[in-house]
Amino acid sequence: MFINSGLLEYAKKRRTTFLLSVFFGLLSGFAAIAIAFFLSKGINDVFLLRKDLSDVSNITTLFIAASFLKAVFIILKEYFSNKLSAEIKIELRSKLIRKLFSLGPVHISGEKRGELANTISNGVEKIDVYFSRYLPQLFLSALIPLSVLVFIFPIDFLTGVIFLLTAPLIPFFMYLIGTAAEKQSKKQWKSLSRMSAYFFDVLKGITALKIFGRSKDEIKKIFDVTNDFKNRTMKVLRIAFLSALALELLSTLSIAIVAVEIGLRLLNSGLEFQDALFILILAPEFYLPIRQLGTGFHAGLDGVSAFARIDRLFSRQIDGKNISEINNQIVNSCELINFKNISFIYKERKENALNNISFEIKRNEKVALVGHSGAGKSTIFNLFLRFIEPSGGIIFYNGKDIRLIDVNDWRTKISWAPQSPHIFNGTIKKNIALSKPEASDKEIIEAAKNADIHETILSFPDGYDTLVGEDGGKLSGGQIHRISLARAFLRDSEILLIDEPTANLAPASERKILSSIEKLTKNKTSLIIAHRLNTIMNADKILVFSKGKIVESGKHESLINTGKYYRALYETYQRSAV
Amino acid sequence: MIARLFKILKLTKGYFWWMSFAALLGFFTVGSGVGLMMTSAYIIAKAALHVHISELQIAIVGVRFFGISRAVFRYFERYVSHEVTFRLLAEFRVWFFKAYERIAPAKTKDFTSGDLLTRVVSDIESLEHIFARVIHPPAVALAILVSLFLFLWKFGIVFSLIFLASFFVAGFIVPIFTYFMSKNLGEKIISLRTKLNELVVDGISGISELLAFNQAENFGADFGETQRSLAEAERKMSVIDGFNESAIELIMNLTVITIFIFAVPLVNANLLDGVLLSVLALGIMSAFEAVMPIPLSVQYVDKSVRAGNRLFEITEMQPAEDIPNDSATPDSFDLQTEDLTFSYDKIQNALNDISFLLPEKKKIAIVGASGSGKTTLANLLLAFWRTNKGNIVLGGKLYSRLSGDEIRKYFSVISQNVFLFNATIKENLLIAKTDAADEDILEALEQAELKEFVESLPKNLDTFAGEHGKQLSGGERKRMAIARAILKNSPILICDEATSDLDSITEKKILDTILRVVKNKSLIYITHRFADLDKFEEIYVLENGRIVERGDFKSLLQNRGKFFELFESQRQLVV
Repeated sequence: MFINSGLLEYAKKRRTTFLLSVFFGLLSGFAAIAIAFFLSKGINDVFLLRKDLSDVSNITTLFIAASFLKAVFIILKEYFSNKLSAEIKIELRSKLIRKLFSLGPVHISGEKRGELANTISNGVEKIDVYFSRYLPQLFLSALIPLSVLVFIFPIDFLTGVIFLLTAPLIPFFMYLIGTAAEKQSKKQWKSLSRMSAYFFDVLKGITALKIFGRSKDEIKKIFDVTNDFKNRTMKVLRIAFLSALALELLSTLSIAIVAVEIGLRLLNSGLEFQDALFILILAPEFYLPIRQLGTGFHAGLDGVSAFARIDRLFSRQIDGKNISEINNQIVNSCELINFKNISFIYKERKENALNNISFEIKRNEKVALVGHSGAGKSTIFNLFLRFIEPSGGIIFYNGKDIRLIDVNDWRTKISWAPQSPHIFNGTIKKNIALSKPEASDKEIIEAAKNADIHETILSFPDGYDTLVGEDGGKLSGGQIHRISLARAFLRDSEILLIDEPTANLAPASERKILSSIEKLTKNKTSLIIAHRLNTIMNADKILVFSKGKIVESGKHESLINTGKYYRALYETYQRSAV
Repeated sequence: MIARLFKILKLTKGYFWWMSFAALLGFFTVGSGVGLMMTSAYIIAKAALHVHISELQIAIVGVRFFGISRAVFRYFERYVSHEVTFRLLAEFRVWFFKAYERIAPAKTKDFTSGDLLTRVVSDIESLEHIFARVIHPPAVALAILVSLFLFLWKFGIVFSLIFLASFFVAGFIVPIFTYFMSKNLGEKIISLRTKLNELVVDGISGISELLAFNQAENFGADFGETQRSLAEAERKMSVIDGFNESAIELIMNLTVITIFIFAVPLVNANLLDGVLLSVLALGIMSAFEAVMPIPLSVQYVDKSVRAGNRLFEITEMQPAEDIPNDSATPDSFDLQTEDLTFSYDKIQNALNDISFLLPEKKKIAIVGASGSGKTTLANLLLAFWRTNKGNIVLGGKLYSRLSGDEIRKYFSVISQNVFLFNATIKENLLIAKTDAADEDILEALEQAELKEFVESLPKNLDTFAGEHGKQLSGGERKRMAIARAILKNSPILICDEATSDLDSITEKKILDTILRVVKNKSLIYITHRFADLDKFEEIYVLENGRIVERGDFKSLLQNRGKFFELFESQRQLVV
């Protein structure tokens, strides 16, 4: 409970830094002992031995030197403990990001985005305190008092005994109160995350709230939610502070007892004044590290709770069969892709998104996927991109189970133009080059020209270096799609996955996009989730999806005569066109 | 900066007595510590002179008292100051939201989601610390300074002055010095943290693209680079922090030794009781506890002012709608605009002389390419913005006489982006009618043709719609909006590009549903698509903010004007 074994592993990897931080902390403790010694000697010399200033000049010089040394040791301790926590933060954040990537977009879609970001940013920040304040302090809280005792026992056995008896009470109290506080602290962390997510949500949904005349109600609700958080937190703190109270009381009362005890013995000449003063000056130093641990303890608990959430993410596994043997060989060019008896079920849903479907795509074939939204078309893409693994069935590439191919190698074969492309913070150039970061400017411009976005980009003040903000705020929907197509052109891969835009696009923009898609898919193996009739009519094969099944497949000419579903779809298309 | 700080402090005005109370408790805490050490030193020094035990009785009681009172005061100080802190948090949140509610959504379009997240959540949380970090420590330190200054005067003004000078250096000069030393570094850390945060949000939002294009590693490298720069800056900062911490202790020790050096000749000359040597030394040592947290306060002043500035930037915006004090209510639901003209920036008109009439229960369509002013029109009808020129009249009452909330009572909206809260489906529907019973909700879902879907979900109505309603498809989200509109039961429905992000099959189905549920209501159907426009009694064609053509579907086609032109271009596109 004092040391979280999961977190300790991270410190163990950086043993030297950690030990240096403890070492300098310990040295600063020794400096404090020296300071107490010189001060008590100086006062004793003047007070009882009636010496004058010149007699004590050596002592004062030593006192000043020890003070400066202590300052330096503190800085060094601070430096190393922060170095430790900084390195661990880097490791945790990188590991988290890697974990999210290995889980993939479909598996993290159940998590709240804000909460994930909060865990990576603020959650890890909480762990900082665990390593910079708590863990080194934990060691120092044992080492410094022990060192002080080494000096005190020879001087005054009784005080040594008092110190020795009271000190272990502190961890005991911490243990007693800590368990309850830990539980509460976990709850509080959850409630903090939820509250942030809630506040964020309300701010984002303000338009909806206003339309329904609910925005003013939220004022009270925000107050209540925050108040609720306050009450929860105060409950944690009431206990956390109680531990601090007990700790504080222990040390102050011990000082009081020691002061009275040594005072009385001084009266009876059982003790020298200088020793008594030395003990009194040192008494706060004896308890200080343990008390500091008490304050760091709460922060340490926060770190442990934050770590629990992080650890939960680390331990999240993807369902589906694991195939251990992965062939890292370069994938040969695409001849045939088979989906064999593929099924898939999303966690939140009762029904299969895909139900035992099979189809094949030959080299340079253009395959159109059609059907109502939710019929399973996007699931095919997700499977193809290997964001998810089928719950049943196997996808074959040139006769080989694709799970045997390294996922990164596999994805280099594919270009993807999604329904809602993400525009990253950065320049337009960088956004296009996403699909091929090593591309030359010439290649990027060529791709932009092919996607019919070159002219538009040139019309921006900074051209290709124009910064596009979060979610591509400065670009229109059509422009975003064209950037996404430019990415696909630039990548120039064998296989294309295209989700035709359905969004609100200006007719001119839409026309450009469609002709770009046509150009792009020429002589490529492509899968298109189609929303346009001409796409369908040009397809080599049409797969008609309904409720997770392929109900009909074939070319337009044959389907129009034989396909019941297809004809119905086609008729709606035609009607909606007019 | 000071002016800004005061502006922030003004927000805490209501908590003055709470804060003073906490500061008083803080003073007693440190004071008890000083008392404990002074009386302890007094006891041993006196005892060393072998006085009679009765002379120590009072001091012994004092030591015990201070030993207990310090801990108790500390407990209450912390408790009260945390209570104040959280009350302030609620206060700040509500303060911000109230202002935000006035200006949204008209003025908040430019804010990006991640920006808002950092801004509001973390800025308000940094303001939250303004009491504990910025106000409290200096208040306590000042109280200690004054009381010890007066106490030391009894033994010689020189001691008071030494104490004053060193307290000033430790509590003011050192913090200010380190503040300026770390200012740039602090700024760098903040901007790197923001960058890191943005990267995280960006990476999570764009995870699909990063994976599909094999860029996860590059992203990781970028991310690692930012982290390393941040760590580098933070490490430098830790040295400054260490300096801060140790400098105060160093000054404390130097003060003790200076007072000692001044006191020795006085003691030698019997002008000062030797007992006081240890009393003063230990007392001064414990008094410095009060300045320990001040360097942090100075850093927080800066942090708070920055956070405050960003928040004020939002809260001080003028709302786009003014709130009339007239509490008129419309007599009917006829909606009419007269020569409506509107400009966002006063340079270019987004709308010009728009006039149309929508009698109760009539259905009209407004078509036009994107950028033609359709959404602006919707925003004006919903009173998110107010017109510059011309009028909107609802049921015989001018919009300028109606409050925004009043106007919006009569409208439901289905827009392209249906916002779903991070809440259950039921809660998401209840915002339309808070007191709706489950039967009403199910009825609305049935009408919206979403009941079957909801019932197929594992937790039915209590299923979480998830952030951005990820689990719901575009069509399903639109049906959620329809269900909300049914529950709200307002006389006029505005569909603002409600179906244009859907495939044409889903689009048609959704439109059918909409037309069915608004049978007895007015409908304004804003679109750039021409499908099914024959179902509307009147169509207005919008181009560059003007109505260029109007009429029913047939006559517009026969006119062979703008409508025909747009229609043809779209038709060719699809077939």
